[in-house]
Amino acid sequence: MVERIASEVEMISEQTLRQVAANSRLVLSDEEVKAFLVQLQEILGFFESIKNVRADVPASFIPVSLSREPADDVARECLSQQEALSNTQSKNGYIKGPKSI
Amino acid sequence: MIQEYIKRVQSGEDCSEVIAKFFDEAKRIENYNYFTVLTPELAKEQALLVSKRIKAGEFLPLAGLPVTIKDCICVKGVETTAGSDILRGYKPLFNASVVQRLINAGAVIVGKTSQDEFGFGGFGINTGVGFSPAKNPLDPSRVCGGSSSGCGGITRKTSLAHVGIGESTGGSIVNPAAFCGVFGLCPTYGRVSRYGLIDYANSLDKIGSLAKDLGDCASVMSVISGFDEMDETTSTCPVPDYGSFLAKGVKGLRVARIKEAFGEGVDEHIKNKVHSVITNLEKQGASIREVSIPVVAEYAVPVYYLIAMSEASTNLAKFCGMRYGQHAPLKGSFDEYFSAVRTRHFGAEAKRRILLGTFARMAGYRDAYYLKALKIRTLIIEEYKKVFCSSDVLVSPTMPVIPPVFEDVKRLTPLQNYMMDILTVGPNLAGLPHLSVPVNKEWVGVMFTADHYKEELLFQAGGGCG
Amino acid sequence: MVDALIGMEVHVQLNTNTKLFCRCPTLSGIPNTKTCPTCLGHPGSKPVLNKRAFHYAIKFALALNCSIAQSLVFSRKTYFYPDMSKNYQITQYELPLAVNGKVVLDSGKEIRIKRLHIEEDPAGLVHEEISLVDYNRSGIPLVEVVSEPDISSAEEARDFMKKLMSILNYLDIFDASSGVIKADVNVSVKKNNFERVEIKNVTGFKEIERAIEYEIHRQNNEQVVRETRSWNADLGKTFSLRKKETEEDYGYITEPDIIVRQIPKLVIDKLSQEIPELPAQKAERWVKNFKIDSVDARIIASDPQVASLYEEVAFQCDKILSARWVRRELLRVLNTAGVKLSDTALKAYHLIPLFKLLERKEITDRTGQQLIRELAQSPFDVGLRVKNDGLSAVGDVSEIGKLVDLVLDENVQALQDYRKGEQKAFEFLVGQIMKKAKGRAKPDVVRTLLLEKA
Repeated sequence: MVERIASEVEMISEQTLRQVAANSRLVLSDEEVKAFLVQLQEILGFFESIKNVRADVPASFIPVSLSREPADDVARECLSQQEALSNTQSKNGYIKGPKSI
Repeated sequence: MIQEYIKRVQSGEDCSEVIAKFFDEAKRIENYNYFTVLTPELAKEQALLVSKRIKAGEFLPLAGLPVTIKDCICVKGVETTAGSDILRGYKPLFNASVVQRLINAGAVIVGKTSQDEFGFGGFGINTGVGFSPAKNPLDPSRVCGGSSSGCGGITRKTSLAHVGIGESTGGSIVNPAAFCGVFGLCPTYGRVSRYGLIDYANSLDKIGSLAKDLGDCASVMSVISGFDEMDETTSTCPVPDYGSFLAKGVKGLRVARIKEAFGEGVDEHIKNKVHSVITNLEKQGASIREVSIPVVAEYAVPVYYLIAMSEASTNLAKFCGMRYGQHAPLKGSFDEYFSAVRTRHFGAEAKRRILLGTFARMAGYRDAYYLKALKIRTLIIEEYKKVFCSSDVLVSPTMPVIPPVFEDVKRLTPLQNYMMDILTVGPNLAGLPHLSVPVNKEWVGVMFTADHYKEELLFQAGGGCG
Repeated sequence: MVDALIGMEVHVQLNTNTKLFCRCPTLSGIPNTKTCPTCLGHPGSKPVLNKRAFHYAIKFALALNCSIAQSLVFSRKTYFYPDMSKNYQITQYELPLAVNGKVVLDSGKEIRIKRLHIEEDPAGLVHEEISLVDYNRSGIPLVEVVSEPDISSAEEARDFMKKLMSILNYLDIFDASSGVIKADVNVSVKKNNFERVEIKNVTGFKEIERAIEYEIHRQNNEQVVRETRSWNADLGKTFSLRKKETEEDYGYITEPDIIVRQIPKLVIDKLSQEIPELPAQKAERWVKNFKIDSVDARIIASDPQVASLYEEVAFQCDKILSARWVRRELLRVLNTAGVKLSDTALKAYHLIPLFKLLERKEITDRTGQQLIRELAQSPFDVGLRVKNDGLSAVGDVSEIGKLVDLVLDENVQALQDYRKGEQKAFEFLVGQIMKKAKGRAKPDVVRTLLLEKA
């Protein structure tokens, strides 16, 4: 059995939700904030249970252990410029994006 | 089943006719919403090439086999959206390794199958903006399951030789397999290359197959499994001939019934069906015992969702109206532009998972959520490993319920939705291979789970279900 | 207590053939011609680690006296910007490749290295009304070296950068002609209670020094808030980019597409053996064994090409004379011309006969200086040139005596001044005689004869 440890329940606040949305580059209407807040609180409330587990073990970043040599530093054929630009808008061979400063 | 057909094609029969029939059929059942795109021109080309190669004396293990590909897997030149509006128009510049292997083996790609947006769902109803949910092939008022929804649907619905390539992060292969009454095999993590798979959660995503016949699953798994230099997380472990285990029999096979999988919340009707399968196995000489995996039962769902959402929220960052997919007029600052495109083209569940995932890995919370989940995943793997010391396969129902009608699903809260994955997230989290076997070709599945790289035991157990 | 605390985060592009996570070449040129789905961040693509980049980074870390981690773990640093192919950068976070190193400055001061890690370069941006993005740069391997805030002036920062550069040259893991070095610089001053200001993305040696100088001056004369600033090289000023509280939360997760690799001691040992003798050790050895001047030693050792030239020459010639001539003459000539030794065709076998002639005083210093200038432009056989052009030093008393007589006849006024006791007049006369001798007369003979005759 896993050992349990006591913990306090933390809830996501509206302010944190708005900050998370900004970090995620999502614009939420006030109604969406309200709805998501209720849902996220329910879900996070359920996730809280993991805080009770004592897990003094290493993290499993992937579920199996794998080993292999990294790749040799030998160049392969690239995409043509036409291919690289084929899914997007371009100008003079550059891919267009929004204003960056 | 497909082997008979493949043999005919291999011995010179033209596959174009079957391929053409497939498209006729697909058209007739268009309203079931199994496809995001059909690829008749590509298929015609490939069919011709197959004939040529066979005439030239090549042996093609999947000669002329119509194969559908879950939309999240890249097919060169074919619109690939992972079921999301934000990727509309994206035509990959390369084939996923899986697709390339299938083509090399003589398979013919006939279309991309519908799914929950990016794989975010278990019912196929979390479709992207402008996409329609797949309907159950046995009763169109019910869901197909998900997220490989269209894959499950078409696999059951088609009358032709066919195998569907699906993808599972938390159960998305076995879930629709069970709901649609077909076989679904999800291999060990790293068994099949993910190169060309649009990521949901990289440490959980696995590509597998759905088919009407277990032998069909085996034929395809033998082709698509194995090391790939393009995906660091593939294993060099040799790939056995899975087909050879189908008729091996289950005598002496150590089958462990998962105690917690027959508890509260699982339909009695389903429990009974699964028990009858277990009894049948026992009659054939399998040894049956009961095991308990309490850590999996209690923590797999939150741990799975925390890891999956944390990873997903980073994977979805790249979709911002640049390089591919949806674009908009380049107005305003990059922040405004990215936010506008993302807000407009992501569906509600995608947004929910981005928010939760971003929160779970945020400074101040990541130790308690993201990192903690990765550690409990270790405990979960250890718990399974212990059980496999004395068992060959674990057995449980695949889904706790039969496919619900659309109206009922809509009433569920997001959390109630997530709880439907209770039986499938364990093996997915631990990267264990698992197989759903349909009971009496109905919409109840029995799920077998084996240790890492022991897919052959699943074929052996599944073969014994008769 | 010092007046300023400066910490550096230096980003170095490694000169591998291919990118960090794909096998596109690390070349610039026509925009978006060196790309693949991986470095374009296309959906479905996956990263595969470049072995050479990994090994180069270990060598760099060892050369900076760092301890190497037991395993290699990559992380995702998520932030949105138009130059990001995935809107996350694959970098290292919790467990960097190496920690706890040091760099010793000329003054003997030690600058501690906090950490060293590997990461991918973002794409190149052209700023217009919109952004124009070139993904040729996307994914080029970078090593980031983070110092502790042990640097206290712009000069020290320059010396720190010079030391890093010299080590990179020795390891041959950075191409100074095409590669880019950038730094983020943290500057804080005592006057403002060491409130930390970060200057982002300063490119090039000179600019780093200028930016620090400007920033120290600014902070000593203005109210300072905790913020991130940018350096405008054209205006020579820093500008506020964002305040600390609006910083992005990077939400680091471990990169799940790249396996965690153990770094075996065997690999570290092997790479360690591939590291050549580094400039500091070289200089120390020369001072001890060759008895040459320590400043000469340090300067010669800082450039691997010059150092190896010196070692070859010193093997056959007088070591002290060679050091003096390499540093004071050869390097001066190269600096004035703005070229590096490797840009010239000059080799040790050109210098050896020259230094031997100097050693035996068979040519004068002036002739030697002239010959080095010409050698740097296009090398020739020094012995043959001296013979054909008659450049040997003249020490013959009667021959020089004639020149002395001639000069005294032509400069009666100067002779009188000298006799009145003006030493300057004597030097003038020496100069005139040397001029007549075209620099070939041995100075000591000229002086002796002039003293006799004047």
